[in-house]
Amino acid sequence: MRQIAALTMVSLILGLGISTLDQWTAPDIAQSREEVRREAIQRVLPSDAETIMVLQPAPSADQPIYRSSLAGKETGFVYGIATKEGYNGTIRAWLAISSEGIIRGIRTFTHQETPGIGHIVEAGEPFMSQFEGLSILGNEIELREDGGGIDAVTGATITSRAMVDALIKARPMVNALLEREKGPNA
Amino acid sequence: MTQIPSLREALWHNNPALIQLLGLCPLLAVSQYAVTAITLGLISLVVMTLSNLIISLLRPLMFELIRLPLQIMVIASLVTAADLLLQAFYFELHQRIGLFVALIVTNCAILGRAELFARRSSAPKALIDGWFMGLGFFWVIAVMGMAREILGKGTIFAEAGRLTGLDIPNAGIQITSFSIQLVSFAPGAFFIFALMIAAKNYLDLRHEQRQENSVSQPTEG
Repeated sequence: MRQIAALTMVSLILGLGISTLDQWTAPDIAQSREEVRREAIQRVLPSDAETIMVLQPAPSADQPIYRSSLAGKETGFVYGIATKEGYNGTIRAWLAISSEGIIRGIRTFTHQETPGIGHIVEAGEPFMSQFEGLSILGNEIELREDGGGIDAVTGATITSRAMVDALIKARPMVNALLEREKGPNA
Repeated sequence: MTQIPSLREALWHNNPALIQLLGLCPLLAVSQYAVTAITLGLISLVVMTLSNLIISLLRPLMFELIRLPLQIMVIASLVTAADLLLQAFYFELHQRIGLFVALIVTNCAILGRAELFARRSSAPKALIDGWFMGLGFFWVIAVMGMAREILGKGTIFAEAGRLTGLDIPNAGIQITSFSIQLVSFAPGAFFIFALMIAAKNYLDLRHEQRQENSVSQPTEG
């Protein structure tokens, strides 16, 4: 009985402490996430004075698409891509493409890949810069061993393939966006 | 058992990583870069010190049957707190080592000190024990991180500025153009760790022989 009381009391106190801390740090963490998103969005913009707005109507509420424009003309899109094919679960990233479907940058914001091995999906890694400048719809978006133009990283083939998978899964969305773009202009 | 280990013992003769071989998962996994290694070492040091202190203070509640769940709960809470704080103040750093911060809970070096020492010692003693043992773990992971970064990448403290948000001059400068790729991979971590243990054993052996010599000399003379 005493033991149950002791265990319950300690877990209550610790739980309370952690939840207080969680609430206290939540705004800071949310702000950092927001900064990472802003940074990814900045990449598609030719200059800082550009406007970014959420594309309306958004295809899904939890995955908004951001549209960048210059003098009222659409210049590109930023939206979240994801794959469950990672070595340790889901990898999420912001993909920035031009209105022609050229990849301008990919910035991973959530992943559980093994540090030191699967960290190749992080910003600034040579593996990630391979994608820049390629058309997301082109057949270069495939590992070299599968006939594409992306070099997998030795020891991290699953992670490399997952990143490619995320981009391939994004193609229907890109197609829809580009079609939409052609429509009113034509 | 409740004697405080001397700093000498914690840092060298009974080092949690080099001798007890505890906490190797984070030690080997995040030591690819000096910055991440030092961060994880620091968090482990803080968690180890505080967990020892809190567990020692909870001594009246440490009944035989519930002592392990209690200890794990204290350690897990501290690690969760560290994880939240790191995420709040050093988001970029957390992006890099986040997974391994949570895994500090499973660092047996911490539970080991709680079980072997803190639950039977007074609070100040337990605090010092945690601090010393934490330092023992810290210097090993810091040296591993620096050695692996220099040998594997040819740089030192790469991205220190971006990851910590501090202004660190000369961080990430290329020291050598020569690098051994293997050292940055997981097997390389084992090689470097083995070399460190070998170096420690060599130094101990040489020290022992010297002492034997100095002891035997007077009897000869």
